[in-house]
Amino acid sequence: MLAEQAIAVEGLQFDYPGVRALDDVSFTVARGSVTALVGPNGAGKTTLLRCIAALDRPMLGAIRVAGIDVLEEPRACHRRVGFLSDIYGLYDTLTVRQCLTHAARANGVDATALPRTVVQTAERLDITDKLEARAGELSRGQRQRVAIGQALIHAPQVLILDEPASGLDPEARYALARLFTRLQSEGMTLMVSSHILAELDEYSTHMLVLRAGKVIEHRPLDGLMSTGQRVRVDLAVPVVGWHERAGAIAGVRVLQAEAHAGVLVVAGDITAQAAVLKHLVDLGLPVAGFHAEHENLHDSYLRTVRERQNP
Amino acid sequence: MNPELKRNLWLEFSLHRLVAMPAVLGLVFLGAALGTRPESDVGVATTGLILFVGLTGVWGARRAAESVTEEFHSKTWDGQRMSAIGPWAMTWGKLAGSTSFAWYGALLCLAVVAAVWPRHWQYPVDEAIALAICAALCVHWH
Repeated sequence: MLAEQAIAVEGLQFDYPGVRALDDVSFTVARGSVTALVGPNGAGKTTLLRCIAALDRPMLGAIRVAGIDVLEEPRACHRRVGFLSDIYGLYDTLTVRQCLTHAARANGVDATALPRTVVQTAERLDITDKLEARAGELSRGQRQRVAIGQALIHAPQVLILDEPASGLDPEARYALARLFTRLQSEGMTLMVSSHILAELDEYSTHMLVLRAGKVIEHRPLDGLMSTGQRVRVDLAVPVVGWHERAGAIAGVRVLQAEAHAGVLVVAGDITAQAAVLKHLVDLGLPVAGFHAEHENLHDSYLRTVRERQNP
Repeated sequence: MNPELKRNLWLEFSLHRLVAMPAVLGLVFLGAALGTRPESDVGVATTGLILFVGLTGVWGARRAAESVTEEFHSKTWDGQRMSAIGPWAMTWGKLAGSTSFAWYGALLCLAVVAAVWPRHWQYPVDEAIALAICAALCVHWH
């Protein structure tokens, strides 16, 4: 496993009675990245996250997290991983301070650092004013934040969150997105599953699409695709069939095309994009706009699913 | 302190419960004292022993058994599995912590039994109490 890989999964297979939940799943997650795990219900997202967190044992395959063989050393994995389940519980009669203190001590935080760690975690999640409140008296959003605090209080190298924003109001979601961005900037690797793609789009650096237990796409979300950069082309006047001429250029693939505009995928760096622009102009096309395009997660997910359904 | 034991102590002991246990036991012992002849301590001592068996053998054993199933019901089991606490520390922390409130009441009962131990009962009181505690511990461990 390379040093820059936080998670490496290879040939993972997991079966429930009569159902294959994960089928030959392989991917790597770079250290310091935020991977959005997306897919329809029943795709195997939760099962995959539980396998990575060493909570469920796959039938076949290998998983390494922060250099640890998860199947061989699950307890060592737990020390390096924080996990928030989609169905989590809190000790309702304990105060928030007690919940966080217990989570910290149970995950090996030093006793001398305990009070400071608890307060810092509460500040991060904006629940300082709730430290003396009982967990059972909190709103759903506040409980969610306490649960996230419990998962990250020991500063794990890898944080795995299954639907962390469910139940949060828009303000809390925004705060959560800022928190994840800050954790990433501090070097933490995050893997987040959610159905709220707009929220994932705010902080994710990579997208992993799971469908029927298989990985159908895994790539960065910076507009770069595995085959190149998305580029939007606008024409001053409609030109019928322009995309066929554009598609004939070496290193260019047409993603979408209408008479007056389209989206191309250009292989190579910005110099290659400049060459393609020159080529389009040389072909006599009235190019009025030519710019690299960032595709949001929602569009990206839907396009990936469409492409897989109609290859 | 073992984090699992500490968590259980937090859960088991509130000020309300700390006060309620001796209050309830006091009422039971008062009833036993009033229900027997004034010159006899047998009723109070017997009541104390019965309460001890009930608190440790029934309530305590039930709390010990529930210490794991409650984690499933309250959806906290994943958190327990993710913790860095070793299996042995987790086991004794749960066992001692979940039964701690039952033991609090049981030891209060033994204190009363020791105070009123009838002189005509031939068995030495210290040995009887030691035997009772060992038997209760065996039940919980089992």
